[in-house]
Amino acid sequence: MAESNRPIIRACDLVYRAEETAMADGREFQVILDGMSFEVHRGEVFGIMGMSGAGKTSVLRLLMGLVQPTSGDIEVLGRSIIGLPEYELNRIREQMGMCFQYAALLDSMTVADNVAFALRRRSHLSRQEIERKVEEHLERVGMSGTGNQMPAELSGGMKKRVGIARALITEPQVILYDEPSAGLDPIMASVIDNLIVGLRDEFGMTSVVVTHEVEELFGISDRVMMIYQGKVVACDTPEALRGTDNPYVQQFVRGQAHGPIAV
Amino acid sequence: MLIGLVTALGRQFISFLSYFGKTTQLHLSIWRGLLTGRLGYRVTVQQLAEIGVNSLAIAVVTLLLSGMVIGYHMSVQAGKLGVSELVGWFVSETMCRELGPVLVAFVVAARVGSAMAAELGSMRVTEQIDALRAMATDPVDYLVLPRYVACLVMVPLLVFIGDIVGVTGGYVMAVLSPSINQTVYFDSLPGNLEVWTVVAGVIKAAFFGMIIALVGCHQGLTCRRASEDVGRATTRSVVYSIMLVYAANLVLTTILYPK
Ligand SMILES: Nc1ncnc2c1ncn2[C@@H]1O[C@H](COP(=O)(O)OP(=O)(O)OP(=O)(O)O)[C@@H](O)[C@H]1O
Ligand SMILES: [Mg+2]
Repeated sequence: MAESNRPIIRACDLVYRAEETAMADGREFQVILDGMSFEVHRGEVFGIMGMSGAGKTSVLRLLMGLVQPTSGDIEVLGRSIIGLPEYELNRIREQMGMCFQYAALLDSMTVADNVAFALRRRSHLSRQEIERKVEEHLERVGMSGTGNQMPAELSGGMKKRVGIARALITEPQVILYDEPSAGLDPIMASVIDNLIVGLRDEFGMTSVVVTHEVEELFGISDRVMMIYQGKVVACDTPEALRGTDNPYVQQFVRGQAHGPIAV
Repeated sequence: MLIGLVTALGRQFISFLSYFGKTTQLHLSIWRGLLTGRLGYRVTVQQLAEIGVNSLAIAVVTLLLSGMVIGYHMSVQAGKLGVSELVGWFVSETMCRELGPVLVAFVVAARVGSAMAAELGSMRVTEQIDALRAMATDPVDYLVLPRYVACLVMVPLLVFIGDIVGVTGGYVMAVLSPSINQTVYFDSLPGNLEVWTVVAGVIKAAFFGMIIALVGCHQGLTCRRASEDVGRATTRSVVYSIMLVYAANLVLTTILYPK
């Protein structure tokens, strides 16, 4: 019982500073996340919203173990991922999927090879079986028949959808979407939204969705967290956030230029 | 003034040590990957073919012309000394000990090492390396291992071919001189050229191959996320690997060819 109640992702007091910008603008480093805590429960769609540059992508990169936080703890699937060596991290990453903001397809191989990549490396499925799954997943994101094309021949939105297919094919327990529908037309955007919700309802897949499209996020999320200046401003259900009197959330949700968030 | 110079030198030395440490770390992960059987068969074959295609022609041309030049010099000098019948042996010693391994290493560093740095560097800039990691694939296993093994195999092979081509090039120039007839050139090899002379050169080449792949991949994997830096990493990979080849050549030569 305790197992199922345990959050699938837990971030505790995360601080993340980019050392790379050191001395570029006189400051020693830029504080990107400044003491952030949140939990994601099994089988929910967890939305993260915030302004451009708020650190949404950074949160996902931290959860994936692609970068290490300056301090704080991250638990994924019941295991702390801080300071784990790469091969241990990979064992956890096998249960996860990530869609990058700019798709990050491997540009020296075809769309089909991109989507098949993880399956080929980890599963013992036959060639036909893999081909079938690839086609099935491309169809899910409205990209069927593009398997033989190279990523360079695709538009930004098409690449993004291939990236989603690639992350889904291993049927991970947790999937992290970085702006899944940015750059997609309204029809395709709602196909992707339905896909995310469908995966939760059908397979109980946990999703973390990052975006600044408030309405879209409220439509699909069970809970939404808003971040501002490296901190969690609010974290609640969409209904509660709509009715909140938190001025930050109000300004963001209504898209007002004036308010506590200085532009 | 003097203090400034010492500080600058000290800084250079420290950055060299840190560079050495980081590449050694990569080298250890490569061997860990190889020993735990994480080398992909298909990608390795692909890399082998790529290196062969990219460098064979230019390595052959380089060694042929160098062999011809050496053959020319040797036959003139040997003629003065009255040892014309030994020119073939002299040329083959020069090619197999030094020119073959070192020139092939330069060619491969310029063609292949730089391409590795550029390819991996741009993969890093476009987040493809992160995408690999997110798919639970270690970039060292998937990208570096095949390149390393391909260099380790191909550079010695190219050197062996290059040795033969170079000696043949020397023959072409040598027979032009009046004191050397067509059979004496190759007749001087048996009994004079030792097998070890050739083998040791090929062993040196294996080390040069390791250096080229290691430096190229390291530059690519660690370049900063800007297109500009991909260019810099590419140039750096050539400069660093050639410098390291020089240094390794000195050490290996004294070890493999004891007095
Ligand atoms: N490698 C890095 N080095 C230095 N600073 C970085 C680095 N990566 C991100 N940043 C900084 O961290 C902040 C957050 O970046 P992040 O990409 O997480 O934002 P985001 O919320 O995803 O924005 P967007 O909605 O525009 O994608 C930005 O201010 C950015 O300048
Ligand atoms: Mg982002």
